[in-house]
Amino acid sequence: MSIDMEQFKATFIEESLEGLDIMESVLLEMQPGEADAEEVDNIFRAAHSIKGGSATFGFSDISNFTHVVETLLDQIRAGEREVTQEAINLFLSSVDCIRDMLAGAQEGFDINFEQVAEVKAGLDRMLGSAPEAAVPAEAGPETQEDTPAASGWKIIFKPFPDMLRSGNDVVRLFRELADMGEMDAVVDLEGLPALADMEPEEACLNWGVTLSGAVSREQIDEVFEWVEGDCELSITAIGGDEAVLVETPVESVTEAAAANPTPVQAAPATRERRTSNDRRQGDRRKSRSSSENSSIRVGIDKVDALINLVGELVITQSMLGQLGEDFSMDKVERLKDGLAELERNTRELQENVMSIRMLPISFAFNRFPRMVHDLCGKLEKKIELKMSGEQTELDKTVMEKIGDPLVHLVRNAVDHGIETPDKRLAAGKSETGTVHLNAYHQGGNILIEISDDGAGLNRERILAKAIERGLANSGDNLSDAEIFDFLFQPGFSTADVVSDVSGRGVGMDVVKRNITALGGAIDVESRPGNGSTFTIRLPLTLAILDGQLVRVGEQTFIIPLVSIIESLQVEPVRVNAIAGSAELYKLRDDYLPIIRLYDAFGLKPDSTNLEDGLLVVVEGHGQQAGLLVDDLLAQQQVVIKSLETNFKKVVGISGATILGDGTVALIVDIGGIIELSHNGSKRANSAAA
Amino acid sequence: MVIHEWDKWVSDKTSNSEAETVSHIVCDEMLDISVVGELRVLLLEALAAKQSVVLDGSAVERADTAALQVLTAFFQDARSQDIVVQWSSASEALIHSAELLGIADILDLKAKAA
Repeated sequence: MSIDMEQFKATFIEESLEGLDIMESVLLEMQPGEADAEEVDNIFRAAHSIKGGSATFGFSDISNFTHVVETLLDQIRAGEREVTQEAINLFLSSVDCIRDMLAGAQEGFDINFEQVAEVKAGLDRMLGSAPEAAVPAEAGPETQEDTPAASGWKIIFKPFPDMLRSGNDVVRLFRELADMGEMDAVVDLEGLPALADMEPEEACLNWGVTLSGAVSREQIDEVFEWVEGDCELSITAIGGDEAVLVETPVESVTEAAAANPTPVQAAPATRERRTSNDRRQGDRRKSRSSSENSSIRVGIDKVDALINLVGELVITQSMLGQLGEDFSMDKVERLKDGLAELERNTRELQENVMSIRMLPISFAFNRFPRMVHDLCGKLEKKIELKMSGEQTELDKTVMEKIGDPLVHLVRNAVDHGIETPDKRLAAGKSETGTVHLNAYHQGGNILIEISDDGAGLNRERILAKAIERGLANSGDNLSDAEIFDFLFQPGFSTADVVSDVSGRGVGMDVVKRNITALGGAIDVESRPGNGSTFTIRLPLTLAILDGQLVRVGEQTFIIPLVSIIESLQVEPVRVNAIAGSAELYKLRDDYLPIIRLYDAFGLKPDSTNLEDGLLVVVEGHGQQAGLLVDDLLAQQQVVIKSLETNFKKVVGISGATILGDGTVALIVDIGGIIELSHNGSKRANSAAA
Repeated sequence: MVIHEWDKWVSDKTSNSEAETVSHIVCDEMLDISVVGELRVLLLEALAAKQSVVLDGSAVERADTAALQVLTAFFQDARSQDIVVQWSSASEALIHSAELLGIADILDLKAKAA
């Protein structure tokens, strides 16, 4: 008999990873000596859940490890131990260890035991050292201001159906209550179905509990702390005034509907509790989406907007349908209105559907505080990381692909950009450098800026290196932009010392390639002594592109507008035929290879004379070329359909789309077609030889 | 966490003269949410057999809410169908958990504790 524990395990691991994200972000904000009660509480909670869950699933190494962390946190929470930088660093290392152990448990691979043992030893050492003088910190008042114990309490406890699935157990809760005083639970069987109709993992019993003895409200709250949001709970002092706490926290719309909420009469203190609870849940939600899931979390408002639009679409459709039933020419105006309405609906629907794929860029940014913190420690630098525009939305796919290039650029800014504190002071700057991440929308693009106030790029050194590598000549008069562009050449590095952080010259070319592959671009600006700014420009989405429709013979192709530099009529005098079949076009000071699209795709053109066609100058993979087409048609936004999924991969074609008249048009892959033409001419050359 | 013995018991329950009239069910040490699906099926089979049921809870080391809830539904159903359910024995852990939830009476575990 096999029991599928995997589903629970996966949930546990996912939630634990979220907990670790919360721990990490709180720890990074924590300042030595300042133990904010809520911050510590958040970390403690996360650690506590991980400990409990891992013990349940038999990951004893994780639970033992987390236990030590939890004990230390508990001491801090109780104000018995001060928060030191050492403790914060140790906790951060612990977060890494637990994350590794969880990953190990999930994937079944061996973890770095040495590192875990080292951190554990550090924790044990700290635990072994007597807690420092208690800080009468903010943690104090909350625990000390216990309400005077009543003679007893009446607790009405109604678990929501999913409560047991989340690992909560009423037996355990009641055992804790029974440990405090005399407890008597009366079960309410009203919700209990017949065994045959029962969903066995769902909670269907309710309880009324009487707890007598010198028990404070806070003690009871603590017991039920873990099921907040998973149950309906009312705690009343026996012989006291009225209900002190009535909670109907809502996890989701469906649960709320199922929960049959009781009237709420909440004391101000209760509201405050709710707020912090909500905030915690908000944190959880935020961090949950940060992992690369194949699913996407969509705000209910976006879904509602879609439903509204679909409603309008249905109305428009029925209006048009009615019009069509007995159509006469005097109704043409109404038909036009209806079609205009339909167009508006469709456009809005498209915009709304696209917005579902949009996520705030904070998902890509939120890894940087930790990274900068760690790098600062390693490189002995002082850096403040500023982030702005985190709410700027970006397509999920673009977001996933931009993560690594961003890491590389931020790492470079920290390693190469910002100087060491003594150098900064000597240069008359403040000791602490600033790295600024900024994101904003501009036109149909999103711009991400990574700027630092460091030393700036060394123009001369880059140029010298470029000359040394034969990328430039010493006599060349190059602009700053052209010189900085050498940074993106493969293997280009000006770092004197190769560190383990950066300087191997591997990466900037990859950064540029990744960004270009997304249809974006990267620019560099730098002022000596004042720092550098890398600006990444990305399309908002990969699903729609602005295209230029061109005609070749009877076929329509789409050239991405972003790749087009200009279009021109061919002047025969500027055409040079070189060896084999290759033709070059002299455009100002450059020579461009001419690619006859009809040739590349084996079509019959209107004319094979160059002067009868038009030359579209395009750039892809850093190379320019002139595409010969018969005619330029309209420019329009097209929805990209994958050719690979629907047919097969075709070299020189990046996808397809369906045009307004229902015909399929292929989207030209500029990089691919340039490469194809190179290969073609090589073949021609070798054939000629 | 496995309750494999139940299978054995259910299939072996013909070993004596009681076989025609009594269903035996032995609970394994972990009586928790991970096994409630199976537990429910076994108890439903026992109900369908329309025979007296003898439960053995002596090995139970942990009983959680989900499992106790299933047992509660089973006892309620058995009573309404006039099926006699008895415990041959029950562990302290099982009895204590049922008491905490206020269902020891319903599960007929109060007497065992005494």
